[in-house]
Amino acid sequence: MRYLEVAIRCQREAADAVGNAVAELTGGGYAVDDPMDIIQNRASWEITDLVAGDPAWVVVKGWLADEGDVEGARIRLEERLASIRELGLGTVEAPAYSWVQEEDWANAWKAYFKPTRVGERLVIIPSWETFELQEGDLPLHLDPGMAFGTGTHPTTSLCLRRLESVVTPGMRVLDVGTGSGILAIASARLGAAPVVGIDIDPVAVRVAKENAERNGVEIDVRAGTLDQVETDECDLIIANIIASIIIEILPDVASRMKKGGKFLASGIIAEKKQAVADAMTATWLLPVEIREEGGWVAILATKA
Amino acid sequence: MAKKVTAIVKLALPAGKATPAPPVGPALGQHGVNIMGFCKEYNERTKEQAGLVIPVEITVFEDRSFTFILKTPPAAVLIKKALGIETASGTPNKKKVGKLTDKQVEEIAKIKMPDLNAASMEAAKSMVRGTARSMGVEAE
Repeated sequence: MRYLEVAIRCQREAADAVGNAVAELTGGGYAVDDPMDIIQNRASWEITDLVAGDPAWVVVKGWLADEGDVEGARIRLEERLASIRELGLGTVEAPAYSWVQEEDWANAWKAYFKPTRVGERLVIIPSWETFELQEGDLPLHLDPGMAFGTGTHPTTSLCLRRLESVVTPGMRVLDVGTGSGILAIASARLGAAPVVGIDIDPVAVRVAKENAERNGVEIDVRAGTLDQVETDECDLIIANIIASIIIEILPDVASRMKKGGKFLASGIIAEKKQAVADAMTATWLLPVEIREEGGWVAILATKA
Repeated sequence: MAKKVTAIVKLALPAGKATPAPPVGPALGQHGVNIMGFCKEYNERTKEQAGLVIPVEITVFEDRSFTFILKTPPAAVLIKKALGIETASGTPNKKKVGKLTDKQVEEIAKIKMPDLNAASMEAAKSMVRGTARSMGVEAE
């Protein structure tokens, strides 16, 4: 099976009408490349490599299965587009057509995820892969999905490697912004107990709970921000978030930590390294080790 | 966690019926996203709105994890629902398939306001009327 991909560049005002014409033609949904999505999300996420085009224009894309009268369908679409143009809804350019071969889309993405050894003992294993563990290996059974933390990103792998040397059995650990729960689960695997994970995203809370269960480790996963969490003083607090949030939560981190306790902060871009280190020092969380990988920095600090 | 975005993908899909077939497969597959995971979650969150097209904005992060938010249905879908029609007119200039009252136009504009870049209710209503005209639907 193959599909005829139809891409129609049009002014924003015409997007709904063009999308409707495409949907009725293909009997399915459609995709929209919209520069506003990038522009509006700049404030929420770190967007460094995406370039937004002219926000007045969007590209509507549909896929027509190569079965039945494709040529007739193509002609009907062009007629509909001509009608939309006549009504003055905005400029609608001529469609661009190309053929795409059907792929095993449901499984193709799995090629990006293989068992990965991180550090000396921790091994991340996706559910569809088998891996022969060696003596002393600690498996982390995780599938990528709707919460950050698949282990492939430097911010996560920097933390995992540090956890191997920092965590000792019986440590009380708090993971702030736990995402998929990967760092909390790794801590538990390394012997930490009790382990608490918190996240403001309810989806992450659910996913982290599922992942903990799948790995057979006990993690107390809670929804909320650090200042809302009641906990005994911790031996280790982990935060793989972003520099500005790490700086913001430092007083709450310090107040929830034993004297001599450790704070492992990651998700810091190299340019913000000094700012985070200075803010840590100002709250008596003294940086003892700074590691860098691929432009990302993890800082380990000790409470004075 | 640290979230660096590699792609933002917007899809308009039938509520509760997302599958790995197009548009989901080709649009998300190239970014290495767990497609079945997405379909399952989208269908779960939209199952109550079966029959409508619910757009979704998917944000893909550098480690190929993702998140998404649901948007309001396209104006064309709301127009068809308001009139109880299945398809728009193939020749909107000649064949009319229905008529929206001013109240209906306003209701649709209200639903669409959060997602439109319209400066005012009048501007939003004007966009709804324009989409209606393109479908062979008259609007007061």
